[in-house]
Amino acid sequence: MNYFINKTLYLLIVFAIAISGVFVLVNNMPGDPAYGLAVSIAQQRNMQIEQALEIAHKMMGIDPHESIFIRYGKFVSNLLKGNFGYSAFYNTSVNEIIAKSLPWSLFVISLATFLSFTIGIFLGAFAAQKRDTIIEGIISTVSSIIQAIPPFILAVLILFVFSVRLKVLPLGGAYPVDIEPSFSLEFISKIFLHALGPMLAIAIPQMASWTLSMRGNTSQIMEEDFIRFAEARGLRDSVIAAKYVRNNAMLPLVASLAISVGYMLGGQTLVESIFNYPGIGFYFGKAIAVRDFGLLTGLFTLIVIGVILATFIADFVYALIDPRVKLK
Amino acid sequence: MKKENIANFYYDYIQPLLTNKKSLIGLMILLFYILMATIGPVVVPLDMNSNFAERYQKPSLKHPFGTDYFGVDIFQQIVHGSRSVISLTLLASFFAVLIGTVIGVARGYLEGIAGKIIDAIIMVFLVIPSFPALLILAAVFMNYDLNVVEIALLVAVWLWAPLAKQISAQVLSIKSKEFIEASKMLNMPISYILFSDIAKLLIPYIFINFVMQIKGAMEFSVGLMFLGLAKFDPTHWGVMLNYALYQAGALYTAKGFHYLFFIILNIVLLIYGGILLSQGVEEVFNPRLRGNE
Amino acid sequence: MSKKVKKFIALLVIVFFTAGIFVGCGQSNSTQQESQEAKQQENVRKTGELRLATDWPYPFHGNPFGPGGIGGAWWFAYEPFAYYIPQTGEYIPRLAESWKVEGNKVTVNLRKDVKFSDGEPFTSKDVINTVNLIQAMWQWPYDIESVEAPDDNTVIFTLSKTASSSFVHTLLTDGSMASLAPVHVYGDFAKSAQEVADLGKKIFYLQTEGKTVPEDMKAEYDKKSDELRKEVNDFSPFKTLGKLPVVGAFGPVKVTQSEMILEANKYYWAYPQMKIDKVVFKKWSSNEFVWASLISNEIDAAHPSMPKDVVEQLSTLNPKLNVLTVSDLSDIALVFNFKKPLFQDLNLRKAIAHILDKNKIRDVSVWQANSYENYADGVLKSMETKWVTQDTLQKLTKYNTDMAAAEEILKNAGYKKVGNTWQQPNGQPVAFTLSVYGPHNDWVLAAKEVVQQLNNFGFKVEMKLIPEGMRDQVMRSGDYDVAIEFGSAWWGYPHPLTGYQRLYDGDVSAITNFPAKDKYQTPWGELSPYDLTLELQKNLQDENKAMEIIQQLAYITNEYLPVIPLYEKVLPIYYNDGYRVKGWPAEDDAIWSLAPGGIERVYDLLITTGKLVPAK
Repeated sequence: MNYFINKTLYLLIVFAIAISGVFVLVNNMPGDPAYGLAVSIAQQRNMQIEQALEIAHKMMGIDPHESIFIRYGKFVSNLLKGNFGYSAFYNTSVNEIIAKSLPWSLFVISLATFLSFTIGIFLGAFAAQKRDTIIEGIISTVSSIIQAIPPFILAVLILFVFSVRLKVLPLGGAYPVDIEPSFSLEFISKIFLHALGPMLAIAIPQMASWTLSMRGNTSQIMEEDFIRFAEARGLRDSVIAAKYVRNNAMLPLVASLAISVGYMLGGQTLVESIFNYPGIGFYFGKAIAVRDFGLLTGLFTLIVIGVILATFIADFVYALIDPRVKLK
Repeated sequence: MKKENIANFYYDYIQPLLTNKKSLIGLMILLFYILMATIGPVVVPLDMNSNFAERYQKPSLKHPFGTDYFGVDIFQQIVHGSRSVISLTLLASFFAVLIGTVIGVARGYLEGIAGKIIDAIIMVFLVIPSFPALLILAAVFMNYDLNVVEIALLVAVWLWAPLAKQISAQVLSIKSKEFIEASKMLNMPISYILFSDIAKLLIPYIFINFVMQIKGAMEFSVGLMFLGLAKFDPTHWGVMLNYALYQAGALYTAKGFHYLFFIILNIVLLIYGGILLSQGVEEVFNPRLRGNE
Repeated sequence: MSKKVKKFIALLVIVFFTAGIFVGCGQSNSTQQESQEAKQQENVRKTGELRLATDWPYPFHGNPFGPGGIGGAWWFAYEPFAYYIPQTGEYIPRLAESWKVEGNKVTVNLRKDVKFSDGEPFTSKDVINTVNLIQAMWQWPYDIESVEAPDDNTVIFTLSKTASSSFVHTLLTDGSMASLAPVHVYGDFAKSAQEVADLGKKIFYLQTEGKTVPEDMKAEYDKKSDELRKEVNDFSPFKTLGKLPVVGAFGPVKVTQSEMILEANKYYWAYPQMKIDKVVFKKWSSNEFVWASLISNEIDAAHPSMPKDVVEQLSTLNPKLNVLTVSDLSDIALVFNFKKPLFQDLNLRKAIAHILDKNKIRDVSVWQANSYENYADGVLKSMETKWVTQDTLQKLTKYNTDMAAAEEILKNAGYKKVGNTWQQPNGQPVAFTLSVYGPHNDWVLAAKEVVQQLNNFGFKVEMKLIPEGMRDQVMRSGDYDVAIEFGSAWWGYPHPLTGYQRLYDGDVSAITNFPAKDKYQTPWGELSPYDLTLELQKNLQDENKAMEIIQQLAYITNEYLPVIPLYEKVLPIYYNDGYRVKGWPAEDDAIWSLAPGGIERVYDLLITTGKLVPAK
């Protein structure tokens, strides 16, 4: 029980530092969300830009003179109420934006992570066992090459090949808008079909890098003493491989799994826009472009919370499955 | 350094790398690109004048990689771009690895409250999504006219944390191993243990991470260039790739295939060279793996 | 083996727990509303469908005063009194049947029997409410002093004394003037909107007359307008009513982040002629997505910039796809910062105009555009023959690409070439930075080429990208030497006046600080472009006088180069003929010239006149 209290406290501190840092960073960005509006006002009414800015701030409900401390205070007190803030650009609560876009992002990213991780682990371990054979050469060469290709290239390629030329994948959206969302088999299959393109674009490079890491970890562990003992005891190779090597090589990767989900949530702006997939990356890009500080802080906070919780769970699960780690 | 030290260094570190097939090929590829970046721009002139009459020429003696959408020689651009790729990208991954290693090793060694604090710092950088954070950080610094080193540092700030976390875990596990215990019992100084024993075990690990960072650093730096947050270099490979895809639509036309192909080929080759070398390094310096050869 | 299973389960737990956490953060009301909306669409006769790509704010509020308005649905949902075809100068009546301009009074006779999509009749009261609301919310257009409605089908606008003569055009053709705020939807705000609008106008007129505004009047205005603004901004007709009652041909019925469905307004006045009663929008998320959608018949029309080689391959990629180009009524230009002494020297600007190979810049940047080979007279290339006489053109300097001419100009002005670098008369090198907005890829390409050409000539030019979201700020604050920007643009009222206003008394002059009030030597004596612009505005109705002033402005613009235009931007329109729809007009049809500033108007006009029909 003590372990949980300690761990929770620790993660709360990390959370507080992380979001405070993000808050300071975002609020020091140059740029004014009301500037574009101010320019059009200045033009329409033939007035100085300073005067127009004042009007624009009022129209968007922004107080540029508010001190950062007051703003921070508001942000924290809102957060305690479960309110992620307010988007000046969309004139709506950040919670609403999150509710509409996050489920889709998460769906694609968890699918991609799950797939890339399972296949990557398998391929990596397999390659390590077949050291110095052609199979190993092929697996590690191919994954090195895929790993080196930037993901947006892959996205454009998938879009072009599967949607434009072969026409096997649908173009855009999370589901066809003329179908009713329901739990029918048809709808669910459509959802999967629509997610396939972006999912592959994210999963393939991921898979390559899991494969490479797993290959490295496995070959290291294969040389550990306890594996040699097992060999000496005359256990069959496959049993050793399955039971000890793979499991032990996988452990450190499980820890980075949770973090990678969080990493991906913030970084899929390009892939989502290439596939016109309604995820959260779109809002991240937009918020930076229009300097919507409220939305930006809210999205960051959400992802930080998510990653922290995921790490918490990962640590816990890790401890459960690894006999060497004990919950202190 | 004394002569015999140099000789020792050669026999201990260099010669094994040259005899290992993987590391030799990897080294040769990397050497090729380093030469390209250093003396390439001196030897190969760059003519960026667009020439619409010579667009999309196939590879030939005159244009080894053909010409691009503007009729500019692709080979020349690759050669000149290698300088900013190598400087900005490699520098950024180098800094990331340096910061990650120092903090990771420190975390692995320090116990108690100091260790906890470093842990928290690593964790903070882990949980903040890196690419948007980088864009914002770069925007904050946009009026400072940063040089390459400073921009590389800016990029590295968002790349080092996963490495630090992994290294600290590695150090923790190596620390518990018997031969380190043995060196401790032999009263070897802590610095010796740190740099000699542990470093040797970590080098392959650090190396592979360095290579893995290259791609991230390349994407990040191109992102910065296109958003106007880093000095724009039209021959940077990532920038060229963007032009090939979005401005020239090279995927949609058969004429543009070589444009895309040669850029990707060079990016892939550079990173592949790095991966080969790191695998070679792993085989050579991981004492247990070596024993198996 | 069991351990392996355990680990597998553990992995699953991590992945889905993580997913659960995120989803738990706030998935609630996203589907309920959508299902209601869809039921309403079931009993619609299904005939034709047109698919387009555009953008809209999401979460969708359906409030034209809210951020982002209603996006690309604007011209389908709201109708102006008339459409104006720039190429023919013809007004096509829409919500108005006819109109009359007498002095400062504009009488508009509304079309009879017009109804909103919910069956409510559209009357002059809706127009009055709309004008009040836009004046209250946007503090515009104060050119309208008052609106009256003698009967249900007549609206009389009284324009203010200071209203510009081109405002009648805006009044008739602006989509926001007639039907944004129907009384039966925005009735709750009518009273306070009128109060705020009246107060705002009073303050504005006092200010323009140079009188002081009482402080308590200002305070009252601030208080009331803040209150109203908050109420109206928070109003979401799409959420509260579940739909958007529109007077136009189509209204949005279902909206997601990536798609929007619009259905025909069954009560629309031209509904019997329409053969298409559904419009589907795909989100314009990236150019690549739009290319892919066009090529694979996913959408029927769009206007993305597409590389030359891709367009040349269209016939093999998708034979049904056609392309045509229309002027976008704007040009891309090199603009100078006249606060920097270097650019105050006309000789340098003239030399630059001679150095640049504008055809090449066009080829590299936007290959379909019209290049400004010779003149920089401030009139759009495609309109030059109509507005600038041969007689005037002969008086103008021809800025053809000519290095020798450039060198001569510079040498005569005391510049020297030392080694490979040109030096100013004061011995400093000719060195400057060219700023360009990073996210505008075609501008970046143009800038790259300009820098290349200037450096080849022997200037020291560096290129600097303006970060995303900073363009207005950088340009307005004058933090640049030379930049790529929109030069002359005829948005709104397609007339040279609009372009010259931009250059000498508007957006461009605000960023360049060109001394427009100075007098410049011309064949007609010493003239100031600023005064000429004002005079042109006054004499707009007098064709001969207006023509004369335009010649003078063209002369000053060409000879004194406040900007150097590089190319006239064009809108490449790609349309799919025969897959879902057919009946697109020929390339030379004047209807296409309606596209700049609202391409949806073209689609709307084609559908509502029955020209665009289902392919089968």
